[in-house]
Amino acid sequence: MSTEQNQMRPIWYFVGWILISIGGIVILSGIYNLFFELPNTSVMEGLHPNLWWGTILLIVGIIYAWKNKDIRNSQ
Amino acid sequence: MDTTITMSAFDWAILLIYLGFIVWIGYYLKRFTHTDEDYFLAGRRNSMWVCGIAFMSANMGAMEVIGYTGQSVKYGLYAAHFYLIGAIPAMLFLGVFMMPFYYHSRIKSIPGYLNARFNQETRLLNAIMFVVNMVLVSGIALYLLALVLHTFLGWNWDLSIWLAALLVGLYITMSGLLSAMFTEIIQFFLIWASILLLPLLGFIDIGGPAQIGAHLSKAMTTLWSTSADPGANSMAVTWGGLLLGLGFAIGFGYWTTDFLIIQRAFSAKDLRSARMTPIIGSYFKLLLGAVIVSSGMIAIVLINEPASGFHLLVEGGKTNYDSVMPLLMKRYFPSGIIGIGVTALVAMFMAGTAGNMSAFNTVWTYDIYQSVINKDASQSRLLRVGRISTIVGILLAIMGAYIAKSMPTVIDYLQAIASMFLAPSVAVIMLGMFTKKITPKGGFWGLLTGVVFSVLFFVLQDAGTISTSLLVPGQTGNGASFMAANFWRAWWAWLVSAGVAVGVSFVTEAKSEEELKGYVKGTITQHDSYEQHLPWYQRTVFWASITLGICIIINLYFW
Repeated sequence: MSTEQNQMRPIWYFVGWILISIGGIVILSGIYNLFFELPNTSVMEGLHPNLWWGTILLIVGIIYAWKNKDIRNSQ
Repeated sequence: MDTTITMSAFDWAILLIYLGFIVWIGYYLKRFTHTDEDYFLAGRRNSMWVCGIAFMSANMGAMEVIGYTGQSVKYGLYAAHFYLIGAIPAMLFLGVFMMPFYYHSRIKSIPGYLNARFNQETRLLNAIMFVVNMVLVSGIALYLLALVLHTFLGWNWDLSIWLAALLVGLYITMSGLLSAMFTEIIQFFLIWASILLLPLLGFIDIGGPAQIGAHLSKAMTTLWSTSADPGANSMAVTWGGLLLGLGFAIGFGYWTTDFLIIQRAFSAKDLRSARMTPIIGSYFKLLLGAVIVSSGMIAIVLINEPASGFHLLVEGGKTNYDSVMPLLMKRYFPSGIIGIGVTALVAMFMAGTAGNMSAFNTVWTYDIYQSVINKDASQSRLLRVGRISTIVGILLAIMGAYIAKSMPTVIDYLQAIASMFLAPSVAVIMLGMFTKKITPKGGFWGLLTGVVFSVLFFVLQDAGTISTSLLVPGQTGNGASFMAANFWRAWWAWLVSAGVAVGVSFVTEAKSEEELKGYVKGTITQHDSYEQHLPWYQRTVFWASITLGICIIINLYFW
C-alpha cells in the first residue's frame, strides 16, 4: 500500500461535511420562511420542521466531521 | 390534487451540492485506485461499519424505498414480511454461517466461488445469469427515477434517464467499488435524513399510530393470523408460500448469493468485519421496514379520510402505488426539506445503480473476460476492462429502463426476476457449501434446470398458457395471486435445482477432499474460533441473536 493511499480521509469526515452543508441550508430556508413565502408548503408548517430538523442534521454533521478530522490508514 | 413539487433555490442548492460531491469523490478516489483489487474490492481494507452501511445502502435503491412504500399501501402490514421473514433470517445466516467460506477462500465474486467449488461451466452460467439480472434490475431503478422526476418535478423522461445514468457511470468508471461504497454511505445518510421525517410528521398529522388500527381491517394489520386462508389476507398468500417462497427461496437467494450485496462484505479488512457486515445491515433493515411500512399505512389512513385531500395518482384507471412516497414528501416537507427528499430520491436510484454497476463490472471482468476471453490478462488490462465494462453496463441499464417501462408493476417484476435466477443459485451454493457430496456436474445441471424451470413457468403463466395456480398448493383455476405464484415458483425452482443437483451427484464424480479445502463445511477452522479471543458482546453470534430476537418479538406482537 503506497504512502499516498494511507492519506485517504475517512468517509465519515465527508459525511460530516455533507450533513453540515445540508443542515445549514435547511436552517436558512426555515429562517427565510419565517418572513417570506416559499413554493412548497407543508401541512405541518406550524411545527417549523426546517428549523429543528436542520439543526439536528447540522449537529450530527459537526460531530462526524470533528471526530473524523484525522487521516487514518483504513476506513 | 396538484402533484407537482416546486423546488426553491434552497432545494436546488442541496441537490447540486450532492451531485457535485459524488462526481468529485469519484475523482478524489481515483488517485487511490491502482490495482484491480482496489477497483473491484475497494482494496479489502474497510471496517465493519463501512461495509455494513454500504451493504444496506446497496439494498436501499429506488425500488426498495419507493416500491415497498407502495406495496405497504397495497398490502398493509403484510408488506413487512419483505423486511422480516424475507430478509432477517437470510442476513443472519449469511453472517454467521456462510461468510467464513466466502471470505476465507479469497474469491472475488460469487461465480468465482462456484468455479472453486464446482467447475468453470457452473461459474460461467451463474455469471451470465447475474449479468442479465443486473441489466434488468438497474433498468428498473433508472425507470423509477425517471418516472418520479417526470411525474413530480416535470423533468423530461428521457433526459432524466440519460443524465442520471451518465453521472453514475462517471464516478464508477473512475474508481470502481471504492467510489460506489463512499457514495453509498453518503446516500445512506441522505436517505435517512429524508425518510425518517415522514412517519414522524405523518403520525403527528393523523393523530398517532392508534389511528391505523381504527381505520384498517385485521387483514391489513396482522402478519400471520390471516395467513391460513389466502382469501383472508391482503396479499392472497398462505403461510407456506411466505415461509418457503419468500422466506427461504427468495430471501436466502437474494441475501446470501446476490453478489451485488455481498461484494461489500468481500471488501472488509478481516473475517470478523465481513461477518458483521450483514449483521449490522440487519438492524438497519428492521428500522427501514418500520419506516417504510409506517409511511404506507399513514397513507392508507389519509386516503380513507376524504377531508385530508390525499389520494394516489391514478393513471389509465389504475392506481399508481409507487406515487405514495413522493406524494407524502410533498404533503409533509416544506421547501428546504423537500430538497433533501428529492436528493434522497435521486440518491436511492444512484445507490441501486452504482451497486449494480460495480458488481456487473467485477463479474464481467473476472468471471467472463478473464476466465474465458483472456486468461493471461495483466492487472492493468483488467483495470481497463473493468472501466470499459462499466460504460457498457450503463448503456445496457438504459436499455433495461425502456424494457421496464413496458411492465405493469415494478416490484412484481422484480420478484419474478428474483425467483428465476436466485432460487436455483441458492440451492446449488448451499448444497455445495454444506456437503462434499455434490459434484461439479451436479452443481451445473442443478443450476441450469432450476433456471429453465423458473423461466418456462413464468413465461407460460404470464402468457396464460398454464394456470397461475398450478404451482400453488390448495389453489385451483387462475385464483392464485401474482405474489403467491412468484413465491411458490421460487420454492419449486429451489426444489428442482436441489433435486437435480443431488440426483446427478449420485452418478458423477465428486471433487477430492484436497480440491474442496476452504470451500465446504468441515474443511476450514470452525467459524467461531476466529472470535474466541473476543469478549461475548463483540461476537457476531451475540449481535445476530439480538436481531433474531427483535424479529421474533415483532412477528409475535403483530401476529
